[in-house]
Amino acid sequence: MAKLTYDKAFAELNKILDELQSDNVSIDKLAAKSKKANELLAFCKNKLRQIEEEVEQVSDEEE
Amino acid sequence: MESYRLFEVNEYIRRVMALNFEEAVWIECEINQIGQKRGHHYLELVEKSEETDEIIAKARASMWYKDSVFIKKKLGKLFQSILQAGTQVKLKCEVDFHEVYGLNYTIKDIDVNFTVGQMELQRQKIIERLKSEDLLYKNQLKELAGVIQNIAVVSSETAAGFADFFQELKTNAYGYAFQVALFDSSVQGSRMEAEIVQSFKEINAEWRNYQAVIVIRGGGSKLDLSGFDNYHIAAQIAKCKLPVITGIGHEIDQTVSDLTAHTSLKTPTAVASYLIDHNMHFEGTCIDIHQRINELIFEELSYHQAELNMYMEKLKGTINQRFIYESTFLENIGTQISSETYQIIRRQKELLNKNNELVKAYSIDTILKRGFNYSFDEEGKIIKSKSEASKKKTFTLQYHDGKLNVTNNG
Repeated sequence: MAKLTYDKAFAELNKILDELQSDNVSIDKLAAKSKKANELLAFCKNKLRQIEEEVEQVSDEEE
Repeated sequence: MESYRLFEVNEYIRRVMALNFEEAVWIECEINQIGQKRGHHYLELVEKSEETDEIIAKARASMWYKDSVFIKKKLGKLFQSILQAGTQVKLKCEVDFHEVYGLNYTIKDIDVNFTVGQMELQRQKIIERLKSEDLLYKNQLKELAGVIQNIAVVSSETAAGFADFFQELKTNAYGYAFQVALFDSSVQGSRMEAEIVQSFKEINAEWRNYQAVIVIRGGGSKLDLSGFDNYHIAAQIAKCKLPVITGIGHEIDQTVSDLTAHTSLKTPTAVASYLIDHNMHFEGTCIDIHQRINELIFEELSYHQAELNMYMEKLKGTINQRFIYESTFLENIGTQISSETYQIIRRQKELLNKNNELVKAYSIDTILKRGFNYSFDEEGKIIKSKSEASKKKTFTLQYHDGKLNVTNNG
């Protein structure tokens, strides 16, 4: 599997939301979708925090 | 023909002379030779043709000790300057004829102004000649190097002025280094012209080694310096391949050599100060430029620093906004996804509940309770019609609260 990026994860989250909103999700897959969505969400949040920290670190070094 | 004894003739001449030269006369002439013996001066006086420079008159003259004391007192320092071979003089002489020693002029007085005037006249002639040859300002057109450190000095090693000059340069307060090459030349007397001209020839041959030529000598009276009122020396200075700076005396008046020089200063010490100041000016300019460059660099850096700071702030703001936006979006999408999920689950539950009701409504129990019943035979097989039932001897009726065995009587 290709390395997950924020953008990919985010796009997938949007896709899941679309699917859920359009009632295209079979109930059997709901738990899996929900789990996937939570994973993606956690990944994105993590990634965001990580990037934020890096940015702060770099600007601290500069100052 | 009558003949006379020598003495008689000489005595006669003496008497004629004495009668005709009762008083002393002023004589304009040039000193051709001069010597001194036991305090007395012995001179050879000449007059030269203005056109050909040939001697057209010559006479012996003497200045007795007692007269020389009087004249020396009157002339002061000028006495030595005037009593030199080559000087144009106006002498007050008693014309004597002695039977043994012949004709002799006894010098009683010297007119200083005549000599000075003659020199001035000579000087003017030289200036006119230099002017007509375009030499008067020729050296002034030379450009002084920004820094003068290698100097060719035309002077006498023994001259007091040279020592002053060298000392002043060596001990300069700024620690500038100077390389001084001395071209030893007489700065007075009969060898002066030839030696100075020779020195200039040598300097011109290696002029690239120097930035300037300095001509110096210690001070002296106006007449002492007359050696520099010399056409050949002045012309050498004018034609020199390097700028020439003179410092040849304390006098107010300038010599012709001063006139043709690039810069003329009063004393050797003044020349040294001038060189030091000249170099200091250059250093000052360098320091100014350096400072200006630093200022410009600082300005430029400050400007860019400010610009960068601005960009950094903007960047920070934008990034923060982006983070807030992303976080909010994530939160929203998370909420949405979970709410959607729950909704789906809820809807599914509702659907299931509805089905349950239906199932319940159609369940056997419910139907039985409503008063319906069904029958089955001994084998438990459902009896679906009367004709079927009439064929059975017994069957069972199922009610909601129990079973009832029925016997078919026909």
